[in-house]
Amino acid sequence: MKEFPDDELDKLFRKSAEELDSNFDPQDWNTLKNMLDEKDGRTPAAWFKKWWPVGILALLMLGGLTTYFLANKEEKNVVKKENQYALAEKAGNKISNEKPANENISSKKAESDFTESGSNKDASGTEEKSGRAVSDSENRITTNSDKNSEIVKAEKLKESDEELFEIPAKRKKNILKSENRKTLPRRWSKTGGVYLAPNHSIGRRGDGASLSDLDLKIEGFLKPDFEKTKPEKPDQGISNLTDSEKPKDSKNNFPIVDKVTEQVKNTAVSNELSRLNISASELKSRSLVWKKLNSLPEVEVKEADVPPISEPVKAVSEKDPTPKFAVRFGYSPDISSVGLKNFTKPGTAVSLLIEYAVLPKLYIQTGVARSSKVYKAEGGEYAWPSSWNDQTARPYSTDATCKVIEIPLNLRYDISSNERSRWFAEAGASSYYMQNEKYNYNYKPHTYGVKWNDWDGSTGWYLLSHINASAGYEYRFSKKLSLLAEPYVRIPVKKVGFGKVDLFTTGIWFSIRYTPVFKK
Amino acid sequence: MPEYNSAVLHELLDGCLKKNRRSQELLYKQFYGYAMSICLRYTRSREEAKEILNDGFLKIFTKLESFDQSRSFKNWLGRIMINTALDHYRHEIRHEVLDDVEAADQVFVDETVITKMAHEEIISLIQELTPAYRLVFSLAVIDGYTHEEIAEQLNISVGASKSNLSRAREKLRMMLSKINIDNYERVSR
Repeated sequence: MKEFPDDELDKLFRKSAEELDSNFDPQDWNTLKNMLDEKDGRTPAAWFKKWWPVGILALLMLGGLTTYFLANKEEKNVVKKENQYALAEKAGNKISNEKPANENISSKKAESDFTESGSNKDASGTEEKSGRAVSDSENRITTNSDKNSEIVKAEKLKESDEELFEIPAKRKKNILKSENRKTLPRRWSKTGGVYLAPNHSIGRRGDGASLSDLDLKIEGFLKPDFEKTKPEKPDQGISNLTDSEKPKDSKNNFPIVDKVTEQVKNTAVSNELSRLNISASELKSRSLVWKKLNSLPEVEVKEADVPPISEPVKAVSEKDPTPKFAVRFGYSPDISSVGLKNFTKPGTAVSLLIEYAVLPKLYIQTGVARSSKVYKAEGGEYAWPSSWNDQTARPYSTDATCKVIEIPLNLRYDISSNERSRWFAEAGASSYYMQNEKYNYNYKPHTYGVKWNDWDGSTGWYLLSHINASAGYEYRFSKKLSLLAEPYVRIPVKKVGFGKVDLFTTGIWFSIRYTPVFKK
Repeated sequence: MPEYNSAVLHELLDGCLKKNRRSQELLYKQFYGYAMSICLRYTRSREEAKEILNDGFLKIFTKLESFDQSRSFKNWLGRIMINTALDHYRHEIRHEVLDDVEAADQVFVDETVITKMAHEEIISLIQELTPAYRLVFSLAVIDGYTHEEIAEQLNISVGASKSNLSRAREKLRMMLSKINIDNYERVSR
């Protein structure tokens, strides 16, 4: 046994340290692999940790759009119904107002007859009735022709009605076709108009009208009306009558058009018919010019026109008061740098802001935002703490990850807006609270005398350290909710953090804005 | 030890730069023993050494672009492992009070017993030192740091570094002496 000198002792341990070679343990690699996966965002947990704000935003947007489309659909249905009611009521009122003045001798009967002939099914029955009446007596012919004329008038009113409402919009046309078409003519049938054209409108529909000789006797005064109301394809409609549906034993087995023209040219009109002709001519100026809208005093088309359709919708939207308060929740990528260079991977930021309208277009805004700012500072940009001057070596760069709580105070001005969207601009100032700062100092290889490789801590508040500026677009998808996209910048006016850096930040806020309604 | 700055190593490093897991695994396996030997003498236990080893490799894989490939990768890796161990020491044990070594009497050690000891046993003696002594001894004796450098790294004075080294040696001698006595007693029974 002997004393163990320092150099011998050192040699022993140095040799053991050099020759020690530990066996590889695969479990250690698995541990490191998990760490690397987490660092690279390859694990579901890491992926979720990295992308959860984007996921939430996507869900919000999806939900918002779905809500918007559903709400929009319901709104359209409501508007459609309102328009239908408004239109029907308007037209009904007009006609009923006009009715007493224009009511004629056979209005009640005509109404009942028209009701019967209002549908195609009943039309043939009416026609048969008409045929029998004509063959029985001339008086009854007159009566029947009154009925027919009522039917024709009603049909024409229908047509004019359709033409009327074709002009404003397709939607109105559909409404009229679906509902008003049935109601309006029934009312209008009471408005007079007695001695009109025979039932060739039924013929137009191919229901098989046929005329007797006695019918033809009154055709003379009907001709102008017939020409005016000439169907788009007269031959087709009439040929249907004559070819396929005329009774074989009927003596009126010729086309109506031919009959009409022949009668107009050649038939001598009796006194009775002349009288009827005159009265019909008189009526013609009032009721037979269907194409001219204003020529139907009982209709007053202008008043039944567009306004009632759109009025209810506008009335609802215009009555919305401008809300005073709004709350915003936002997410943004946080792109920070020192000196507008060396941008690294973005951090994340979330915000909860409250807005108050001081003027109709001017809001004051404040709240809180928490951000993770990842940036890189070069050697000269990061102020080395004076208390660390015992370390002569300096890092060539510093990697920083700082958790910052930001209190903004902004003014927002709506540049332009409409019912659904608006453009706005914001400006203000922010105070930073450096909640947690982590700095890794990067030294060049083989730098000796390195004492500080990293630092973490908190340096606290930096009041009004940044100026804010942003502009954005807001889309409102319901009365209370809207989505915003708002690019922004945070310009440093004070140095912040342990390294006293000029921290510049940019990004784009994706926010959802909620406008609460306070009941009075 | 193979020549690390070889073409194979460069290929591995290129793969690691592309975050190729297979390349990273191969590099890890190749330098595992060397890195572990460093970590063991800076830590109290093997588990702690593994933690530092993986932290060190994580730094290597994430900061590999800053490695100058014209230099020795092994040295760079060793320095990162030492720095990681020092970081670990600063974070975990910075407030630990340095315990003093009892004034030891002159210690005698039987060399024949020592030569029979395995390297792991000898290194385990370092692990039994207090952190301050362990770090100073490892830095000064095995890794060749000067007292000035040690003082900077550990934020202590040069005198404290020298003192700690001296006391660490005394402590190790005592341990070796104890091993001698135990072996002598075992043989004499």
